[in-house]
Parts: sequence; structure tokens; C-alpha cells
Amino acid sequence: MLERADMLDPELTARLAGAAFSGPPTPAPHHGVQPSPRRGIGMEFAEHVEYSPGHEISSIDWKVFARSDRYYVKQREDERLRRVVFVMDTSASMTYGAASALDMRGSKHQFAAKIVTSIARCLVSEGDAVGLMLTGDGEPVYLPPSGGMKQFEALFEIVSGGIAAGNCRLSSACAESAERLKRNATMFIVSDFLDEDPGFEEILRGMLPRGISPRLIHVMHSDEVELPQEGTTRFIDIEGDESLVLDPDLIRKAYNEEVRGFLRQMSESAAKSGIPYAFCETGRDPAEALTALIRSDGRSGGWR
Amino acid sequence: MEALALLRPWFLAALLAGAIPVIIHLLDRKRARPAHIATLRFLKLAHARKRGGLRLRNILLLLSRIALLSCLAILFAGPGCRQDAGITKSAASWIFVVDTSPSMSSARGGRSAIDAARDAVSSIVAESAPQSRFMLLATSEQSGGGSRPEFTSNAAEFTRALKNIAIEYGRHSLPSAVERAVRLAEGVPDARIVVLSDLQKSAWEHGTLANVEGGRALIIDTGLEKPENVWIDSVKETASEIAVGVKRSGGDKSLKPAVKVRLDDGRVMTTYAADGLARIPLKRPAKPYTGAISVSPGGDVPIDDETTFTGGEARKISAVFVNGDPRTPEMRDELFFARRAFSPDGLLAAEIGFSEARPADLGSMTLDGVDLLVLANVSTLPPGASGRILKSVRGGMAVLMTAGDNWNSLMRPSAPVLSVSSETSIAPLLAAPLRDVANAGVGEARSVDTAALSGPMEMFRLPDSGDLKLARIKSYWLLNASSKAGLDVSMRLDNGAPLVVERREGKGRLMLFTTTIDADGADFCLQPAFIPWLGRLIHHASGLTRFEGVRAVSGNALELPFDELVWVRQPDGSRVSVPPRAKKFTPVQPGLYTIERYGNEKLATFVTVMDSAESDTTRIGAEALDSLFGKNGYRLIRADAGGRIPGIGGRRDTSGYFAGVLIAALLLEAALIRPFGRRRKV
Repeated sequence: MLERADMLDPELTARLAGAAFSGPPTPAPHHGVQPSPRRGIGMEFAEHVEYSPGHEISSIDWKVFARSDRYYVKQREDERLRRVVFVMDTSASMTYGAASALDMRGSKHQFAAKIVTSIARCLVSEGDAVGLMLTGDGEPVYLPPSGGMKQFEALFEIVSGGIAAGNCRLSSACAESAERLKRNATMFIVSDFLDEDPGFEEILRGMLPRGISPRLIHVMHSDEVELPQEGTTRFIDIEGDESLVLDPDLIRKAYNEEVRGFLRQMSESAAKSGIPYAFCETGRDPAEALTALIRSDGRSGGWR
Repeated sequence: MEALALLRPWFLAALLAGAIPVIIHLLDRKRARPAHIATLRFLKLAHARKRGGLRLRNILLLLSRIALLSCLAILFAGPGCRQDAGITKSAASWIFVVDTSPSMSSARGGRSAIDAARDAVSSIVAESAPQSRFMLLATSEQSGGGSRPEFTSNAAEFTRALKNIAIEYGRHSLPSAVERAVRLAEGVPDARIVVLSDLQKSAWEHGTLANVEGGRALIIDTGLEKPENVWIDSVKETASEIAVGVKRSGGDKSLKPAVKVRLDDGRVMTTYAADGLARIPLKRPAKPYTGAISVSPGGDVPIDDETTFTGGEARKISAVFVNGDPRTPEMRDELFFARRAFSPDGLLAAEIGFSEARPADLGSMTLDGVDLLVLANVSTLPPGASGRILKSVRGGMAVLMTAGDNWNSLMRPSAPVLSVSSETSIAPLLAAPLRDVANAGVGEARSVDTAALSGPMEMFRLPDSGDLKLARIKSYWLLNASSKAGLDVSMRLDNGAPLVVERREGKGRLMLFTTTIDADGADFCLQPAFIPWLGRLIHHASGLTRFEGVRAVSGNALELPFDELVWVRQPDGSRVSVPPRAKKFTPVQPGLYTIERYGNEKLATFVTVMDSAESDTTRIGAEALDSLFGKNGYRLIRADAGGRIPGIGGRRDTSGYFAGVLIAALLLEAALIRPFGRRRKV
């Protein structure tokens, strides 16, 4: 359980809004103001592209044809409403760093909640529709995307009431969420990605032809990266009963190398699949990484 | 076989501390602090990568900690290696005979043979069983007398005595010292005699070992291996050169040592000794002088590499010989040898200026500058001569009168020429009044009582100083006097009759030889000892005994020819007084000695050198030892450089090894545990 104050970060919200969501407000209430790299049916001219079969004949720019004797099609900004869904990992591993079982402050869960609410708040304020799926112990909690502050309040309540426990079934949650969205949506997946799931990447790649753009926000606790424990320690797996007695001083270097290798692998794998990726470590300002994630180009995994 | 011997074995209980690391390791695992972690995946991977190294590291760490604690416990216990020889297992009465002869000063690498002897004794004392007793004997003949030494069971007291034992100059006899030890061991059933020596030949060859039966001795050889030494054997100074005799024992005999002479006027001369002799040309200073001679390289014995010497021309004794025999001296064959000795190239010519005169000349001849007037067989004097002579005697001259057949007429009642009042009488010059002449019958000649030789004649008691006992005295004069009359009798016949008598007269002295110096009354003049005896008599009578240039031997008594209280200033600056009656002084320190009289007036100097026999580092052979002790009378072992004595049950300190292991364990620990400052706060 999280208090409202634990989840709201006005500074982060302001920085994300100022950096990423620039552009004029749209008069149409069903349209978002977020400029999309997706070329659509809007009023604003975007660019010329050479004609290819499938383009509307009416969109051919005949003036350009008269000058260059070649067929070019006018591309316009797509100013339709954006649908964004946050898939948030609420497995037991996300409680790492919590002060206690009932107090999630300092945990990855709190950090992830702060990120989700900050981005959602920005999107809602711009008129976009936001939805949420929590995946952890039990059945996933799903909030269909919708606009308005009431929707944000609903999302806020679900996140704050979410209990991190059990194992994460991220692949199934993402697949289910994509199924519900059908087409043309953005999916922010916020997780520590610690569960080994070989089908996860395949599911993400399958979303792309349907216009669903996944974005990965990788959350890790700084202690998970550094391993600051000293002396002989019994390490207990949060998601299971397994334990291991070790002197962390002796393996710290190797541990750090393993963690860095894991992060590098995540980043490279996402880049290879054209999926934007941001790594956010607790205790550090996530604004820069999140801004870069939101601004990322469509062809390299940005908005679609 | 060496076994570990511990000084405080109860400390070994602390070896249980070696289990502490194991216990800590086990407890540490149980007491591991729990910490939740999001996934064990990375920990497992890291652990799998490091598993081999970690296991080795943990084993090494455990072993190093066990070794560290165990070594600490053993170090507290005082580890050492004991050699099992059975000799130190039970309490015993140890008699240590330590060779203190100068050759024991031979050293290499700053460690001398006597140091090795001290270490060896200390080693035995440290290892000896409780209730053991100890006695220390030195080998110097000077230290052989005195009170009977006692055993002590106080190891600390004995160690102090051992520390004070040092090189002693003078004669040393190892066999005599061993024999003394054997005598001391009589009646002591658990006595064990240990001789510590460098086995230098001269000290072992001097003396005999007659009563060693039952005194099986353990000889510990503390000498150097393959000893070699170079030393100054003799110094002869003449008007034109200094001849330095250099001897060598051991080593390369073809090497020519450098000899350096440094005179007190600052001159320094260096040359090389070829064939054992270094000749250094020198224009001798007119005045007496001193110098220092050194030889380099000097070999193993350091104290014989330098010596001092005195030089300069000494005044000759002026002696006038007056023969009362009517026959010419040339006719007396028996005095031929004496005349040869006084001739310019004779044995005594360098010291005694000799001239002859007739009795008639005594009336007019000047006696200025004459040190000694010898009146041989003179029965009458020219008128007034006795007064002149007596005046000179009171001024410092000496008169030596010898009897002769001319004196026979003196005893005739009709010619009482011995009357003091007679102007021609010799009576005023006689040391003691004559009583009668004694003539031994045929085959009844008297001989000299050598045991009664004293004063200036005492030196002839030594066997190598000529044997006066061979002389046969057929006629001699009896004296009418007693010792109360101020007479000194330095030589007697075997019947007690005085032979050489003297009496002080003013600054001079009157001496009387109660038999003839020629062959009429005795055959002294035909004996080998005659010339040295005569020279000694003249030296003594004149009071000008040549003392400059004397090279005394350390530890040997020296007779001082001075009839007054004198002080001897030793090389270290200290002064020793010698009363006129004692006259004997035993110099110990090698170097230059100065004899002074009251008021620090310098009388003479002499040099004392170490007995050159001690410089010869030749070792005694096994055959010689066998003949001394008998084949089974001794056991010979050698001490090594560390004072350890193989075969005697020595204890060798091995704490160094354990300290080394401890340091290695500490270093290993430091290398294996994380470096300082790498800890971080959780």
C-alpha cells in the first residue's frame, strides 16, 4: 500500500510535461495534443512521400507532379486521440528496498508507481487516454484506457492499492493487454524484468504490426546493482524460499559484472527489436531516461 | 635425531586455540545475517564463477589462521631442538676447562675461538639437567694456583663468571689444566670434564698429563677451520737497520706480508717480508726512541699483528780487570773464553767495555767513568789505592774481588795484611772479612747449590740458563760475617758456604767471589754457563744492567735491576709499584712499559710481546692427543658456528622458524582478506 504523497512527484511530472509534451492544444476533445510521428488524417501537413500502391489517390499532390513529373503523396499529422496503457509489474521482487512488508516506501514498487503516475498525469493533462494493468499475484487488474482526470484518479487508486506479491506473469499480462487494445496504442511496461521469460520478447515484437508500441521501463534498486551487504550473509529470495549463504565482499565484483551484463543484454535486445528502453535506478533522477524514452523516434521504437 | 624441546611446554595447551578459526567459521555460517534479495540469479552466477578460487581462499585462510595461532602458542612455549646424546639427561658436576691462551683470540667474522667456547659452555649449562653443578677452570699457569675452586649450582653466577673469562697471557698448559680438573673430579662420582680449546699445538705440548685415568674428558674444538696466522717474531735494531722477523703458519706461504714501521719521530717505512725477514734501512737516532711495527695481513690472531720496540745506542759498562796473578793473562788458557767474550767481537762486547790493568797501576790510574773494578787474585794494593777506590765505590762504582792463591799468604800470622789500618791492605774493599781458606780433598770438590741461587743469580735456576751445578769448587774462602752485617748472599756452595757476597757501600757496592775465577780453585771458567754468569755478575755489580731493548714475554716474570722503589707504567697507562726487595714484575699487556722512579723520572723502558709460540696456530694432531689421553681417554667433537655442539645434546633455538611461519601466515592473511577501506556502509 502506498500513500498519495509517496506516489506523486510534481517535479518529475513537470519535467516530463515540459520536455516531452510540447505542442498546441487541440480543439477537438477526442483528439490528443501529442504530435505523433504517425502520418494520418489530420489537418497539419507533415511531409511528402513518394506514391506507392495502397495510398489514397486523392492524397496525390498534383502540383508537385506538374513540377517534377513524379507522384508524391501529402502526409498530414495524425491528431487523433492516443491510447496509452501501463503494464506495471507488482510481483514480490518489486518490494525490494521496502522498509517493511506494509511500508513500501523506498521499494522498486514505489519507484515504479511514481513513474507510472507521473507519465499518466502528463498524458491525461494533454487529453490522451490512459489505462493500466497490474500483474502480480492473482488475476491481473485491468483499467481500460480513457481520458480525463476521473480516469487518472481511478488509475491512481488502483496503483496505490496494488499489493506487490507473488510471481510476475509479464508475458501473459502484456499479451492480454494487447488483445484488449486491438490496434494503435502505446504500452509502457514497467518492471524489473527479473523473471526469465523466453517468450516475452516474441510477444512484444508481435504487437508492432498491430500498431501497438511497447516501451520498456526497467526499474532496479540501487542496492541490487551494488550489493552493499557486508560479512557473511544469508540471502533469501523474495519470490521463493530459496536462500544462499555468502560473503558478499568476496563475490561483489563478479556480482556487479553479472548485473551489468544483464542490463546490457536488456538494452541491446530492446534496441535490436526496435523497442524503446529506459533504465531507472532508485535513488537516481529518472527524468532524463524517461524523457529520452518518450521522445524516441518511431522508426527506432518511438511513438507510432 | 633432533626432537622438539620446549622451555615452557605447558603453553602447548594454547594449541587448542588452533581450533578457534574452525569454530568461528562454523559459527559464522550459523550467525549469517539474513537479507532479502529480489533474485538469487546473479548471486548464483557470481558464486559459480568464483567458487574454485573461494574454496581455495577459504582453505588457505583457515590454514593460515590455524598456523598463526599454533605458532603463537609454540613461540610462547619456547621451541628448540634438542639433540639426543644422553649426556645431559641427568644431573652432573661439570668441570669446564676453558683454554684462555692468546691463540683463542683468533677470530673470523667478529667471532673468536673463546667466544665459541663461551657459547658452547652456555649451551651445555642451559641444557643441563636441574641440580647440576658447574666449575670453571682457566688454563693459564698463573691462574692454576690459588684457592681450590668450588662447584656452583647457581647458573646465573656461573654465567657471570663465564662472561668474565678472557684471554690470559703467559704460559698455558692444557694438559696441566686437564690434570688439575681430573684431580678436582676425584671423589665426585657424577663429574664430567669438558675441555674447550682451539687445539693449538704449543699450549697442548707444554706440560704433561699423567693422571688422567678415569677422567674421560670431552674435548670441544672451538678453533677455526684451516687456521692461518702471520706474526712478528723478532725485532732486532742496529745502527743501520731494523730487522723484523715475520713468521707464518697455515695459508699460502708464498705471500709476502707487508711490514710497516712507524717511529715516534713520525717516520713511517714499509717493506715486504721475504723469507720471513723484513729489513728496513734506518739511520738510528742518537737518543733512545720507540717505534711501532705492524704486519699485514696478520691472519686469524689479531693481537700479534702489532708490536712496539725500543732503540737507540745504550751506554756500555766500563769494566777494568786487574789481575793479581804474576803470570800474564795470555798464559792462562782457562780464561781464554772469558777474554774472547770481552773482545770487540765477543758476546759481551756490545754491553761491556773491557780494559785491563796491573795492580801497580791502581795507585795512579783514574777511576772516573769506571763502573766496575774487578780485582782478581789481588792481595795487596799500592799505598792509598784502597782509599781512592773506596771513595769511587761510595760514588757509585762497584768492586768485584775474586779469591786466588795470592790470598794464601794473607792468613799467615806473620803477615796480618788484612788489617784495615794497613795502607796496602785489601781489607777495606772486601764485602766481608775473611776467616779461613777451605781446601777440599781429592775427589771431594764442592758444587753450587742451585736451589739457593737468589737475587741476580736466580735466573740460573732455570734449566735453560746454563747449569752452574756442573762446576766443581776445590778451594774457597770462609767468611767471618753474618747476614746482619748487611750482606746479601746470592750464591752458595752445597755445604752452605757463601760463594757470591755483596755489601752496599754508599751508592756503590762491594762484591766478593770466594773462590778463584781462574781454574786454580774452581773450574767455573770451563763451564758453558761461565760467560753468561760472568756477564750477569758484571751487570749486577755495575748497577747498569742493560735494560733498554728488553723484549719481555707477556705473563713471564721479569726481574727489574733497580735497587729502589720504582713504578712500572703499563701500556694502558696504569702504574704498578715494585718495591726494591721484590724486584720482580710480571708484565701482562703486550706493549711498551716505562719504569719510573719517584718524581716520575724515567729510568728505562722495555717492550712486552706475546709469546710467539701462541701465534703459531698449528693444531695438535690426533696422535698427540691419543698419546696424552690414551685412545679411549677422551672424546673430541667440534662446535659449529652457532655454538651448537653436535653430539652433546645441545639445545638449538628454533623460535626463528616458528616466527617465520607466523609472519608468513600473517602476510597470507593480509593478502587474502579484503584490503583496508574497501568496506562500505550498508
